[in-house]
Amino acid sequence: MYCNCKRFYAIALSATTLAYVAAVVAQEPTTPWQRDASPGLTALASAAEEGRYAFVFFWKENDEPTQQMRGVFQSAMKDLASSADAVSVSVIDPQEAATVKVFGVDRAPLPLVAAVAPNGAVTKAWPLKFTAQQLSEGIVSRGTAECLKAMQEKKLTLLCVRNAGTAYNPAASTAVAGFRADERFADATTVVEIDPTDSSEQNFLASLKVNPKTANAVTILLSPAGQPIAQFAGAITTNQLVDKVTSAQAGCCPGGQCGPGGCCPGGKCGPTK
Amino acid sequence: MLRMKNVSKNYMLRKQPVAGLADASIDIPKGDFVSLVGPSGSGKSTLLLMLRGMLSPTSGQVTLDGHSLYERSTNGRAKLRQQYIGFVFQTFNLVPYLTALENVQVPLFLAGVATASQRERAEALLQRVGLGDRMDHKPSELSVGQQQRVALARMLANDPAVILADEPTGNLDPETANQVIQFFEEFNAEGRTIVMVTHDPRAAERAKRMVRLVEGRLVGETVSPKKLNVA
Amino acid sequence: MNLRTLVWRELFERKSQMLTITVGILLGITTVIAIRNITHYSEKAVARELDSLGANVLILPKSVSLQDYYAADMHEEVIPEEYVMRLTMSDLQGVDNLSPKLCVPVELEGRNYSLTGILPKSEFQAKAAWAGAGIFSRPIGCGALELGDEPVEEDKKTLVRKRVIKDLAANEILIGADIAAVQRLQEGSQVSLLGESFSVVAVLPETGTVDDSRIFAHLHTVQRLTGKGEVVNCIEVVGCCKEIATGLVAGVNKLLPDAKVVTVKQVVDTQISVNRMMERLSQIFVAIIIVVGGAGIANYMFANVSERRREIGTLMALGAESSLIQRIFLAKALLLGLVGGIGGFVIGTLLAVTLGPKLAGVTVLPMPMLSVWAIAISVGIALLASYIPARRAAMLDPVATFREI
Repeated sequence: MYCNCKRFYAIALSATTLAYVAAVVAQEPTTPWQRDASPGLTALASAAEEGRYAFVFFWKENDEPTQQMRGVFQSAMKDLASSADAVSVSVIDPQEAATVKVFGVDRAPLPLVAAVAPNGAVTKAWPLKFTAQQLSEGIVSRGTAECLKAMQEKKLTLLCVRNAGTAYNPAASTAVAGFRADERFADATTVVEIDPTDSSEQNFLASLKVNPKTANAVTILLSPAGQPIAQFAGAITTNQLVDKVTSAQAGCCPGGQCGPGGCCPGGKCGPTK
Repeated sequence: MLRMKNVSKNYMLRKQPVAGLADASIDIPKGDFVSLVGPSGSGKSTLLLMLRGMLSPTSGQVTLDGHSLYERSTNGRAKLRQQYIGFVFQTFNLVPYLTALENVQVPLFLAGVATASQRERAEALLQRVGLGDRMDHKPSELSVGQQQRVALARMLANDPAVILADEPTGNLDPETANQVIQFFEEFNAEGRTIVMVTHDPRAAERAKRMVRLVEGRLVGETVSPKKLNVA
Repeated sequence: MNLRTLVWRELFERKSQMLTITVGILLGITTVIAIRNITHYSEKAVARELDSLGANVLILPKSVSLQDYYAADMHEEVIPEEYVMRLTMSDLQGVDNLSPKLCVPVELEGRNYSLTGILPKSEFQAKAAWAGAGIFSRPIGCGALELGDEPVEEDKKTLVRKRVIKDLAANEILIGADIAAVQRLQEGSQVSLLGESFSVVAVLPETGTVDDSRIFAHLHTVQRLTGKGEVVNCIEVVGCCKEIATGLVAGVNKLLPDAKVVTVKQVVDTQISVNRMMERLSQIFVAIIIVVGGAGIANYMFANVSERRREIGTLMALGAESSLIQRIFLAKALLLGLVGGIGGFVIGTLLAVTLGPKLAGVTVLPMPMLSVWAIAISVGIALLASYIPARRAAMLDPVATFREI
């Protein structure tokens, strides 16, 4: 499951989606990292620039579990060498303070491996124990990485699944544009485009329960917590999107609250906000 | 006033044979003062109980002012007792937790007299027996003689036509006994009929007549010489 | 002279007997009233807490036994703080929110409070996405959408209910309603705790729980000031109902084998079962009162009747009907029952009101309805137990009463 980003862009560039591709590209800076802040960040920046993944091995004491996991990490990285760089960061190394701060791993269970996509998204992390097989799952499709990045920025994601062959593309575009124009959501929304026929995205689409052979454009609202709030196939309007988001905001159980008696104990909902 | 006709009684109390009566007949007219004498176990107390309506005869009839006592219910007899009979006990039987005044009030309360009149009458009666200054004393704070006088006042509460007394002087010294008998004479003079069981010959002699009982039989009657003189 | 004087005077004639039997009834009723009263308010408190519970799963050190959800973090045992990240980075489904806590006692103006370190959501939320692509297949319907655009103050006030806040600076504290009232603090006040100065950023709304006496500060600040290291006493988890039902707890247990994972339902069930036990205890007490108290009264009454044979005989000789004799004894029983019932209610209520907060941790108020119940039980027992002795008195043969003496 390698990221064929460049090729994807070529396919995705269709007249109807041009405006949004611009947005997507704008969201993927050449490097999300502050290059010179620390050795770790420098390595991450280099990897990102080359469109490669970086697997960061965080550790503290060179004890037996750490050594053992380092062995697993190193052998796994050999297999992934074509698409990923290995980076090792000691969380107590003063030089790496900036790296530790960026990832917030000073109190993490160590050793810890984080897979970082070229766009800066942590696509998966493995604390304490992992296998080489598990590490390979850290490399995900471009669409997945985009969505994870949005989540890590606590943003709402509008995922547009379409290509030149899908119907209702203009309607979906208009609705998405309208949603982004709404000042309530403008700053908190990211738009991600996916081609349903892209072979690298098939697993991602399956997890979202989207038929890759869809005839109509599919628009999915993903919450900052990663939950699909709504999925629309075909024609949609801005209002439909806004309605879904506002009703999710005023959900019955704010904060997912559910007591021993079930969701909203006593059948009463507390003040939503 | 009081009449017994061929009364017999044989009974056991707590598995002990009690002195009964055998074919006893006696007629006590209104205003009479009879003393009932005889050895222990001769049936004196049995006779007295029967006159009070508290012990039914095996056979024969007891009448009080023409009412046949034992043809009535227990409660009916209690009513009759209340109306006609005053009783004096050898042991006084005052209620220990009530004052002299309250003890006298008890029969008035039982007869349904209003509280205010109860008090008034009880006070008058205690004055009469010379205990005007002892009204609020409990029995334990009174001398034996005083206690018997409270009992006399209580006995008079419902203005009884008949007074029945069981050894009223039995627990008293001669002087107080004399005092009690004097009261009896007074009551008799008021027209009350008195039947008194006694062991004390001096007390017995002061009755109008003296009836002797032996083994449940009325064996003789002496008319008091003193009373004869008076009559 | 009337029935009342007759009964009243007799009662005081035998003071010690009367006192013994009255105290007997009184103590029984007192106990039952106190238990019932406390149980009632304790149940109400559980119901109220059920309504306002924020978290539903608690992660605790293995050795901690748990009685009270709100005091879950009031113990000395600790678990490593890294458990928080193990949870956020796991692919467990249904963890909506987390709140690690470290609780230490602090003194403020001569009073003791609980300083509770909490970790704002901003410090671990992003890690949730580190769980990888698997999170996109999580179910819909747990937790409301948050866009991070709510006003900050409002967010902080919801701490007690939602158990989590978004941001908290190292020198900021939130204080419970009780502390604010007692210490006259408000938003913007400066407070010195453990040698450092903090500013109050919010006064939390009153909850009626121990949360009202808490000071909330940043977890890492509390760790630093107390030197406890990177540990917490407890992690509160807001889980999604469906997932709790389908094995979230087992999942957390597997992930954190060295911790104890309990659902708040278990905690509440414990409380409810304690209440049930108290309820049953009070029923047993009622039964004991009925049997022992009743037997005591009956025994006392029988003794009383036999002691007063002569007096009864006298009254009968003076013309008292048997029904009056019976009434004298029943009136006495009624009086004892009333005193026991009313006294038991008053003392029991006083006990419940004063001891309730200490024993059950709830505010207990008097329950007037219980007085009816207390008097009914007490008088009922007294009358029932006295009925046969009273009848026996009424049936006494006055002749026999005198013969014996």
